[in-house]
Amino acid sequence: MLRFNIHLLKKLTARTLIHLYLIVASLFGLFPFVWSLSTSFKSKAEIYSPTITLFPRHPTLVNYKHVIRGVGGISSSAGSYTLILYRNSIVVSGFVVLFTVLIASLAGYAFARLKFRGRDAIFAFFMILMFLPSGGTLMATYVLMRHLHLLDSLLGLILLFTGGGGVSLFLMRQIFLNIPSEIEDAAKVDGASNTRIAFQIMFPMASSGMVMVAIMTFISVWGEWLVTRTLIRTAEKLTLTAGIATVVMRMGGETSAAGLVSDYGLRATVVGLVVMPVVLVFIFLQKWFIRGAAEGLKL
Amino acid sequence: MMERYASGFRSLVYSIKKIKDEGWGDISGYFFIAPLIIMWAIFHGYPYIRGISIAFQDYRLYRPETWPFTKSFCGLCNFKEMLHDRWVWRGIKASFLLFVSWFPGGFIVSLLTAVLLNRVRKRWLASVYRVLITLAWVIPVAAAMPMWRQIYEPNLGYLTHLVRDVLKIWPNPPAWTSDPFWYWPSIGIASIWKGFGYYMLLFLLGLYNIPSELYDAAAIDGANAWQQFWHVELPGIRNIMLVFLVTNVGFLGGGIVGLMTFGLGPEDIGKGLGVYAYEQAFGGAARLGYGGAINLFAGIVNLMLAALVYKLLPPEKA
Repeated sequence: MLRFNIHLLKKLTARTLIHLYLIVASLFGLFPFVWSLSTSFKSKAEIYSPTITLFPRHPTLVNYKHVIRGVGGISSSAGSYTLILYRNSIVVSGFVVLFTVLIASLAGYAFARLKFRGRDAIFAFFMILMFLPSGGTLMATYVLMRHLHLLDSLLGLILLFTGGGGVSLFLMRQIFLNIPSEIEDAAKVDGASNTRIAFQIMFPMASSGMVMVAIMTFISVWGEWLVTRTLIRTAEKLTLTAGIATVVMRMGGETSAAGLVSDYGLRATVVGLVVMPVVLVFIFLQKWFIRGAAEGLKL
Repeated sequence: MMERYASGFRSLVYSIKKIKDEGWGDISGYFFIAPLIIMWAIFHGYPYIRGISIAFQDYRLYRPETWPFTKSFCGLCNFKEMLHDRWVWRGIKASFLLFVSWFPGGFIVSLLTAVLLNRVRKRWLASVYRVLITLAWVIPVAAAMPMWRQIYEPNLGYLTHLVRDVLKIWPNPPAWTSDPFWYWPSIGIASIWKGFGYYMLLFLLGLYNIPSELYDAAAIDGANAWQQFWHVELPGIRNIMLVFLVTNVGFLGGGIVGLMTFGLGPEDIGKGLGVYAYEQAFGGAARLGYGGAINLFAGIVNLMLAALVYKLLPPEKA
């Protein structure tokens, strides 16, 4: 009896320790979000007060008002600067996700299912290229975009980001490889063409993989910073992520002198606006994502 | 000479005939892969080749006469200049310090979290932990670093308040990111925070794919949790750990966005090699050639490091 109890006690302790660790890890993962969100609801007076609190004592929307409406000469004739950048971000990431899922699915299907000359050689070549270092490519990309007259243009960003589909291709091929071939064979016996089989039978079955590729593409394009800042010169054409500092800079100076807001609070608010869409997309679609990833990674 | 041409011609005829006999297979396959291949060739393939050639040029953005390759080709001039450039050596040091600040900690934390999370039996609870831990991975680096800057802010941030007033363990904390020593642990923790959710997920998916028979066999042999970790789980995710190692060991010139949005610290101690190359290429005199040469050098070193790891620790066939 005593032995049994010791065994149980050991097991319980282990379990408690596991959960304790995971709770600490979760809090560590969550804390910067909490701090940023809380700061965005604090007034300038509260941010600068000597007693620092984790949650705002007098929550206020003054930071959001400044960031979204653009108080103090920061709104251009076309509307609020922040909202313009938001629109740019949505346009760029929306089109890139659409194009990437489409072309990666087409190619992934072909590499996994269709038999044509040189298929495996082309795929192997592609995979090797993926692992080579992308050394001076940012400089060369700039040169390329100038040749194509795509500098300082959202279309240029969309085309450029759509071009890099190595990981997406790899995952989509893996997904199509894992679909059993009986269904496809039956359709072939019925005389369906490759295009019909692809669009009507295979693509719907690969939807969890497509969602995963879409999420990954969205996350990376939404968060892109360096290339956008290099290629875009007009402040109104930046994406929101690439413009975080620009937004805060445009609002600093005269507005913080008004005594209501501070750069510290504005920065937290802008960062919150950048982070919100990706966090929401991820929370709502994470089940699909894990399912797709588990399928795609069965190597 | 003619003989050579003739044999070349014969083999060409032979391969065309072979294709004619065996066929191209499913021609539609080429149309399916065409969009991806064309897009890649224009927007990645070309910059790739141009990125190598630009390193041998004295290419200056604001002087159009230097743009054509033949006009400003200068052999190894950029690489020779790098040898005497103090900032290149400082950049290598900074890149290495950044790697040391995050890599070992990041590996241990990710692996530990994955192994422990894999033992949570309640599915909804595991899923809650997983989402909270991976949340940091999905947000942009350019947003994550400013978040941490706000935590590290010496007067307004939470960290100073936490260690000084709440926990009362550190009456005089340093100015974190403005302190030449504390700069590295600060950016290291921020980088671990940003990355450990992703690597945890990678390890976790590897653990999910370990066949349950192996666990059963270990249980029959009376293995305890520690032995199970050491003999079942660790070998089971060996290849995934290798992916982690190979993709991250190339430390040189990386982390540009993180460093630039975190701030380069006192006296620019955080100016890694990639940041310096970027500054040379797009700031000041806009020397794309010199920046490209630095990046090419970093890329070759990274490739050699990855190849070395791959050679020393070859993956096991499943």
